[in-house]
Amino acid sequence: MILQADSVPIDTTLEADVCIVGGGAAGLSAALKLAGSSLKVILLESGQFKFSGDTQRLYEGSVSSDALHSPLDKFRQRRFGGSTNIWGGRCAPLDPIDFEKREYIHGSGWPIGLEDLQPFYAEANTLAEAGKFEYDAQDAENTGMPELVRGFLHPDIRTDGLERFSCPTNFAARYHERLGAAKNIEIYLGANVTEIELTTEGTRVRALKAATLGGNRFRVCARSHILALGGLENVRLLLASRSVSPTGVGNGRDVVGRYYMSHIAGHVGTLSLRTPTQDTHHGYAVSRDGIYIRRRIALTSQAQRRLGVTNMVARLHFPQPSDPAHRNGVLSAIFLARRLISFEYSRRLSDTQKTQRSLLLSHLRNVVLEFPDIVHFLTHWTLDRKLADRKFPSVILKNRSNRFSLDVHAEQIPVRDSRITMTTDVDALGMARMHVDWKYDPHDIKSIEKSLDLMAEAFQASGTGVFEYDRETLEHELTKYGAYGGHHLGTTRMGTDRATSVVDANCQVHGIEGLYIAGGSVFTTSSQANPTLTIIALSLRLAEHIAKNASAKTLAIG
Amino acid sequence: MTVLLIGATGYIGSALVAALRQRETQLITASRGHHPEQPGHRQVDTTQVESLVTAMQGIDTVINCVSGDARSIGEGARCLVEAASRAGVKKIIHMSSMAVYGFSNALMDENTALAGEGNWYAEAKVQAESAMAGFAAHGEVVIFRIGCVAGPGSSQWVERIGDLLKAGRIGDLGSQGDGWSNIVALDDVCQAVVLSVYQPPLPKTWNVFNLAAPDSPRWNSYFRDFALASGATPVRRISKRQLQIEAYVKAPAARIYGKARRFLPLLPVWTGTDIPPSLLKLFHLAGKLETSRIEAALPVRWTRYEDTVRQGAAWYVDERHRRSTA
Repeated sequence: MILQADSVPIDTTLEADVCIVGGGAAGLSAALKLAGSSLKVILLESGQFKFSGDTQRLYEGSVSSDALHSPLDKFRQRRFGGSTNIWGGRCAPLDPIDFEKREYIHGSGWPIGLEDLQPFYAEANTLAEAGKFEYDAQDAENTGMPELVRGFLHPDIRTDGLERFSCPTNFAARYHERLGAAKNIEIYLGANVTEIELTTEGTRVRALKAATLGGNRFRVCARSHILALGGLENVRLLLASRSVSPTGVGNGRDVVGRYYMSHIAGHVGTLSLRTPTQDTHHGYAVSRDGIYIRRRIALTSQAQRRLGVTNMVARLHFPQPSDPAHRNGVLSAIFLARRLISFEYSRRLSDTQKTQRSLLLSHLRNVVLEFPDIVHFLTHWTLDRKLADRKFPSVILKNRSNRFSLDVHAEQIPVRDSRITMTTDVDALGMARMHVDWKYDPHDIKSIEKSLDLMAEAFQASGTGVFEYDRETLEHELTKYGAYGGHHLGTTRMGTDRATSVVDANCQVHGIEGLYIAGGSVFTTSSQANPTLTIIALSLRLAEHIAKNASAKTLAIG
Repeated sequence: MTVLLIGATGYIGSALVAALRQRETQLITASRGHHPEQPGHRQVDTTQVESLVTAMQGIDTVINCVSGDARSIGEGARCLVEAASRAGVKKIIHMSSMAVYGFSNALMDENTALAGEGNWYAEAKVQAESAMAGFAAHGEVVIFRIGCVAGPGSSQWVERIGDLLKAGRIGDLGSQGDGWSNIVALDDVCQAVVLSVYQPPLPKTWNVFNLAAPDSPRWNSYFRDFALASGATPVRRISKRQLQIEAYVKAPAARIYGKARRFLPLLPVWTGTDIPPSLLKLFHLAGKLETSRIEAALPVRWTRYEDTVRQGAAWYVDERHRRSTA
């Protein structure tokens, strides 16, 4: 059932077996896993189906550096479906090496392994509508996929690793009927949890306090509580709940909000291929099960260990749109129209400097000269993206010049001082706003440099091309847009040592029975992968764990 | 013990004949037509009590696989019960359908209230079941509420689905394919019926079992898996709009055309497969048959879902080949 939080009688207490806070990818996945079980589930979601500015403003906060972090109300949606309302749909699982304790990465090592998530990854893929859990080009449903660059072979490099794309699926739009029909689930829209009330000993949750913007207040009392508010907001709720423990819930060892990680990403260098243009397949293929799939370049785990580098992937990307020297009409048109594109997607198109008039003219010249290409592109974009249920994932331009940049997406080493703190400023519900101070380790950049060098060597050695980049500007290129938008990881990380972690292997907050955390904040390390698929898998595993503890049976996601 | 199987020439009926003959059951078949290839076959009019009484002479167990129009199903069941009580039959095994639950989009156990409004088939099946309940005053009734029977030879859930997938008219239906398929292998239906034939009799009882493979997935997964197994790839995403055009424009147009042909027989025959609104509703909203009761009562060894799909698809590919060369 889907209900309005304003319809709950004021100051009453609702009871349930499980209370889930947050209706985004993490919260809805847990609810979907518990749908049809014997457990009574209440899910509290702050937003509605439609975007509301007043609700979104509850997300506002401050950042240490505008250059290093986007505003806190960007890249997240406080709304039913959460940030699946705006996500790009890129799915990839973590690699086995991501879970390992790597001596060369301080703070690495999850208390669980890939094998613990494996059974849930398949269901996560189904929920994300990304087809089968097959992320290798050699897997059955990916057969016939052409090579990335024909002849590009090197023992330290993999190009068989894939990403698969969700529609991108908006979890509220896609699953509200299924959840609404589940007799054991009640979803309250417009319900903001403002405090976790602990028992006086501080070892259990007494109730969750909820408030609406319309002035209603009520509480929810459950046996298990799942915080699924998002990687930043989970921290805010824990730290804002101070009536029993003055440092915030679960924060006895001052770890909540620390180790905030995102990804280090950027478009780097110039790859000039020597192979015939038709021998390069830098864009998307469609798998047998109907999913857009794409290859990425990665270092094998052996090579990563040998070089002592973080995990990273690179995709073949078009040249910088801002420089009209690419002579590509479509790119120039996109660059010129960048103000019409939403903040989340235009950010990486625009340079910080003002564009000179002469460059604008060159862009206009590209647009005029390559007009037929633009018409072709617009037709494809309209049919395959705007009007399609399963959307073509991103701009891919025909390879005419054999020149690419590398689109890098890399792991970030956990840094204790990269953190979220609370401010004295409050939102409309009286909850303290947060302050984000994102930091990265110099070794992150060094790692990428070493990995890029190995990739350059592989292109050279295989005779397929030359990759060059400017070592001096690498750090700037990788950090000029700051933390990769939307990936909020590690702030309540999973571990066994309470001095460096907040939740245990079952996602339960250390020392607080029945308080669980779902979402990117439990990541111990950040991996190269976009986090959503893993967030879903972790939620499914958590829901299964809670059901098992209560001797309840769950259904397959189907 | 002597068993009479009525509706022996249908899809389930003919498979049951083979399964029961394997167990060397004393089996007599019955149906509307004359079937000299079945020794001792009794021709019967299932809507005439007298005809049924004659056919039931010396019979202990009657298996009712009669299908057809609403009258054959509903009125037929009433006549069958009356005849069986008069002929001294001890047990009736009746093939019902998940259709009796309507579209509930939830978990459906055997105690779920029956719906059956708005759809002649469901209505007839509900009527048949209530007629069957009347027999419990005389003997034992076993009712199977069967899911979608898939497997070699299934015209509805293999051939039709295969054709629609091949034509790109169904595929990944998004939220419109969220209903549960309740796929069950034909072999498993036969197993359940044979097992219940040999269960010791429980006079004056009335037992209902849902019958679907416990691991059968939602329709979207079935479509995807069947498409992959039958080579209808890449699987296509079908929008809600496309499906609505199928159900509310194309299917009614085909029906009107069919009616027009009655008056204008020179018009060419329309041989397309329709996706009527009721089928869309099934794909969208069908609930999941809960199967713990049958699992506790009968030791059915379920065919794995993957195998059901694989066998169905293999048959379909052969059948297509046969059709195209014929």
